[in-house]
Amino acid sequence: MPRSSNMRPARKTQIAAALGRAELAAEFLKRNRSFRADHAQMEQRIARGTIARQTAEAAFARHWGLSFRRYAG
Amino acid sequence: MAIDPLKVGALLVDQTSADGRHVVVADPDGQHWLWLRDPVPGQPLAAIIPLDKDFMTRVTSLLRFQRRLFGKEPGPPPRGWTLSSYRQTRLTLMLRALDLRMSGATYREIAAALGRKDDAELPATEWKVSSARSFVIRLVRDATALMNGDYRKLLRIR
Repeated sequence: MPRSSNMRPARKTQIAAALGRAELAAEFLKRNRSFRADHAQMEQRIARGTIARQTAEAAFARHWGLSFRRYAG
Repeated sequence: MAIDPLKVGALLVDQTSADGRHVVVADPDGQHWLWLRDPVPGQPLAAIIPLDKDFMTRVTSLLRFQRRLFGKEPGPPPRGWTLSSYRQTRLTLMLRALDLRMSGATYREIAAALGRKDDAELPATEWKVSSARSFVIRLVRDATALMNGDYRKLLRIR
């Protein structure tokens, strides 16, 4: 499908902004003390072998509403 | 012929979790975020759309993905999804203000750091009624709300 060249800058801007929502949300969440404590606690439980990583991460993501592996850190 | 949703574009994120596989598929017109509950290659696919307040966003996104899947132009992301440059700028300022506040900065110091040096140096009585002060206070207040739960609102069009 042909694309007019003057569409390109607008598209680029849109994409950058679309990326922004989840990333910005994660930036705010990362500063939340409960989130950080919760995350540290989960990592400890995984390290001790109390819980499988995949199970812990799924529950964690569901609780906080963001898939954290991409954003935490 | 089975359609492979993972061959539509590069996978920017691909993580397997206890609840399935989460992928972000690259697309020059806007990424596709997929949650594959029971990913078995080669099997026919169905989509689940919760009948919640984000229904229209989800439907529009799904239509985009379906078009991409069948080799068509997907079209733009849902209307309102794209953050305006004003909102992006403000959110970035909010993050900076929040970081400063959390590391103990005063509103004056934050104002100075955000480029309002002249206002930040006003005498106490003038500072108290300055627009810079209320601007910074609003930034910190709104940033704190986002940090404490409103971050979810950033993922919604409303």
